[in-house]
Amino acid sequence: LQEKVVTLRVKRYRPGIDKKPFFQDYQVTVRKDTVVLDALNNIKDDMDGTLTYRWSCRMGVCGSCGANVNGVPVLTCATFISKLNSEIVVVEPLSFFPVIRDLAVDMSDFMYKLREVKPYIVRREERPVDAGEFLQKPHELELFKQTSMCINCMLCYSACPVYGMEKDFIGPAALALAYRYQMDSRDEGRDERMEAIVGPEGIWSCHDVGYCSAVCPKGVDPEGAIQTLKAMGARYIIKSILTGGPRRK
Amino acid sequence: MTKKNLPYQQKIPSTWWLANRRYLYYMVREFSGPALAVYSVITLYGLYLEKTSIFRLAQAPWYTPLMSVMLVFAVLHTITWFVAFSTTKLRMSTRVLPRKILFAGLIILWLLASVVLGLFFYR
Repeated sequence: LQEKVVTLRVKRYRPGIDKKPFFQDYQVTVRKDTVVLDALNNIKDDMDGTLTYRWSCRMGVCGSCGANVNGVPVLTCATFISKLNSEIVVVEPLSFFPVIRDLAVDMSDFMYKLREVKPYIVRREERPVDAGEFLQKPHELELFKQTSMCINCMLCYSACPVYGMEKDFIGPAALALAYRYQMDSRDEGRDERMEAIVGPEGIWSCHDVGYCSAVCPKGVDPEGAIQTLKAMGARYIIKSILTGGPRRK
Repeated sequence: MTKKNLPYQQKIPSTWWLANRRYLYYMVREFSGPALAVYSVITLYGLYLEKTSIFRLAQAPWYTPLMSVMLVFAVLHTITWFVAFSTTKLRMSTRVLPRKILFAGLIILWLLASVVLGLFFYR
């Protein structure tokens, strides 16, 4: 395979040493099938062992290796350098998150917010295992299957300027996962979950920029999920007002 | 974690909205909002007036250029709002309505509403 040399311009930050991030250039030999993560691994193995970034599965499943490449949030394991058509490839940490070191960002904020939306099936009463599985029809699964593909890679947060400016905003992935459970026919916690997402930091903070859905590597469409939750949320609020409080089944 | 090892808080440049087409598109949509409001107020005022006064208002030198620009913003705002709204997963029986059909439905409703209102006010 034909090889060529490209410059990988990586944004670096070493806590305790640097006051602010800076760019460092590395000359990397790449082939047609080299992805950005391969190039980073090449640097780490052969040029600079101090370069820090996250990765695990190398096949777009674990969601660990997200970074901004040439200004676009992507999974570095799924981004071929040859397709970038660029002699200089700029690699930066995901936007809006605090940078722990180099390309590794602190995602704790998302973890707290994810907990708020109860991303699991809520049952009013647990059934014994002997009672059998909860059956679901294919069309019921189809309603949320797309959003269940989320791998929590945080590309959508990095693409969301609202999250960048309103830190309390729950954000695209957590709301898409809230939608996933709201639409699940086995779930019985819709009112509790809705209470968590109809607040000012929830669905109403979304301004429909739509870049979250554009960058999602799994085709989840958080924008569509949030728009649908807005319609459901409006109905929920009206019903709550008419019935004098949060609706309970 | 000691103080000097704290994570770096990334800053958002004031030019963030120029970073890609989606952001720019979003900002244009947001800024078309006030233009839409001005357009609506002038249009409602025009509808309130007698027909002869409307013609007098329309002959003002500022009217046609201003209203043309405002109309462009109003149409832009409406269409981009429909694009955003059509991402809603509207359930019809056991299926979700395709995005393109929802968008087309909104455009048809908009055109119908415009014709009905036009006939009502200018008959």
